[in-house]
Parts: sequence; structure tokens; C-alpha cells
Amino acid sequence: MRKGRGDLASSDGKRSTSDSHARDELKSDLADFEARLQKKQKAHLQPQNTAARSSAMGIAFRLTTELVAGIFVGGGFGLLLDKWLGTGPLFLLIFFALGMAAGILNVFRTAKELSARAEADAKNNSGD
Amino acid sequence: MAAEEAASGAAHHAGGLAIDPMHQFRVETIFPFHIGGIDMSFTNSAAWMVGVAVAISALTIVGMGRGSMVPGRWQSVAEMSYEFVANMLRENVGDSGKRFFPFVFTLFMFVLFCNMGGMLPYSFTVTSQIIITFALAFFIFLGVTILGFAVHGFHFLHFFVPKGVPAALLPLLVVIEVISYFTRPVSLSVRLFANMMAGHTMLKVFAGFVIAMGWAGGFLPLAFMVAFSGLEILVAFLQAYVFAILTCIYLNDALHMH
Repeated sequence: MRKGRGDLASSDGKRSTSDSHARDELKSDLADFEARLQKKQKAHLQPQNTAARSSAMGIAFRLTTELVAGIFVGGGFGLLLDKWLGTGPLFLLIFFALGMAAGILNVFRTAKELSARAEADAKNNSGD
Repeated sequence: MAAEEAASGAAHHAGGLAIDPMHQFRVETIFPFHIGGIDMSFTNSAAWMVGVAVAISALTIVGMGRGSMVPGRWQSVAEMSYEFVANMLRENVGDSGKRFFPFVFTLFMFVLFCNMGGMLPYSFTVTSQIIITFALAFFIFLGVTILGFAVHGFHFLHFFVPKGVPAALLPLLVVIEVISYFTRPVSLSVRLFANMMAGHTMLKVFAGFVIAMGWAGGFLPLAFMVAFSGLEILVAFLQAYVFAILTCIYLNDALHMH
């Protein structure tokens, strides 16, 4: 197909420029090859990553630990502050609530990151 | 502890085949060794870690020993793991992450081999101990925080100040951000530990069902075990991957902030 087009171009009467034509042809061929190669490589590299990411149980587990860790760390901070200042359960209660907020913030961020990745993967996969 | 030992001993005598799903997590001393009252004995856990380090070194050194243009089987595995980690680092940190390649590669391979080693029969799963995973996660957290301050100086504290927030809400949000930052080592370590421990306990429990149900009904849990072992191998890889990729993300945060 490409050969045929090249022949047509050279038989168009521009015989003097046929040499540069051939070079252009070669260059565009190379660029074309590069594009196709990159697409193939992407297709080869991507599935492995999607497979690794897309385990639903893994995602659920990740989100859960983020939430629970927030509550534990918040509660731990409050407990330490209470021990240090001797202020009953005051800081434990405050930091427990703050820990929940931090946990939910973590979950939100993780989910956002996961969906951004999923979107990027979908774009890559539909590209080829 | 003594009572537990006695109970498991009794079970041994009673059934002959004791079903104790937690036995696999017991740390046993191989060579007793004490320094100044601190127990530093060489345990089965330590032995497995040495084994993992030797296996990784063997794979990378012997595998790449010939360094031929057309790689053989072992060289392919070594090259694939190198490229896998290099890609992960490039995607998540960028070019400035290249100098952390040895760190992330070592971390990924160590966790991966510990997880995979745990899938061998009669093995000990190093990463099913919270103290191991927490030590790993804690030093990552410490290193990344030091790196952040080394690169940005006190400007790194701006990491805890979200942008575009009314001044009245700022004190509250900064505290939440700081707590959220400190959850990193906890969630990182608990995720790996809980995954490995839950999976291995479940495998042992179902293996117990196979024996308990005998020839008549044991095939159902056996079939489940085969499928679940496959899933466990996937989880072993996945958790090593997640551990490494989160390290990359933390590195990226420390290097480039937001």
C-alpha cells in the first residue's frame, strides 16, 4: 500500500525530487513504525499493571485499613496527650473524632487515586 | 503460655493429627543467644529472612552472571523484576526517583520473596508478623520524613497545610492532616501483615476440614483449598506490589510535595 503511494508520487513528474521524496518516505515510515511500536509496548506493559491493581478484595482491604488506622492513630495520640497532661478522657475523645476524620480523608484520597489510575488505564486500553 | 502449650500437647495426644491453625506463626528459637539480658536468639523467622536474602542475591547475581544478549530463564526473571520496579518508580516518582531504585528494589524483592516463601509447605511466613512489617513501614516513614525535611527544609511543613481553606478551619485541618500523615506506617504495615496472616490461617483451617471430614466429604474443602492457594499466590504478589508502590508514592510526596 505504502509502496504504491510512493510510486505514484515519483511518477507524478517530479523526478528531480524523487531522492528527497524517498528520504521523506523513509522518515515517515520510521515515525509510523515508532508509533506502532509504542502502542504495542504500551499494550504489553499495561495489562500486567491492571491485573495487579484490579483485585477488588485488595482495594476493599486497602480502604478498610486506611479507615481503621486513622481511628487508631488518632486515639493513640489522644491517649498519649491525656497521659502527659493528666486530663482525663478529654483529648482521647477529641482525637478519636479527629482520627475518624483523618481516616475518612485517607479513604477519600485513596479512592480518588484509585479511580484516577483506573481512568488512565481505561484510556490506555481504548487507545489501541 | 504454659496452659496453651499443655492444651496443644493434649490435642496432640488425643487426635494424633492436631489441628492448630496458629501453630504456623510460632517463632521458635534455633540458636539461643543473649546480649546483656536482651534476647537476640536466631529464630526460624531470622532463618527465613536469611534464606530470602540469599535467594534474592542468588537470583540477581547468578541470574545475571552470564549477562548474555539473549537472556536465559533466570536472567529473564532478574531483568523482569528490575524493569518492573524501574517502571513503577518512573511512573510514580519520575526521573528524580532513580537514585532510590536500590532501596525500592530491595524492599519489593524482600517482601515478595517473604510472601512467596510463605506459600511453600512447612514454611514460616516472615511477613505474617506485625513487628516485621511495622519495622519495615516505620523505617520507610522515618526515612521519607527525613528526606522531606532534607530536600525542602522547614518548607516541608507546608505539606500539612491544605490549600484554599478558610483561616478559621485551618487549625482543625492541620491536626487532621498530621494524624493522616502518621497513619501511613500503621496502615502500610497492618495491610501486609493482616493479608498474610488471614490468608494463611484460612488455608490451615480449611486443611483441617479436609482431614476432619475424611474420605467422605473432604474433597469439597480440598477443591476450595486448591483455588484459594492460587488466590493466595496472587495476594502474595499483590501485597508486595502495594507495599512497594506506596513507598514510591510517599517518596514522591517527600520529593515533590503536592
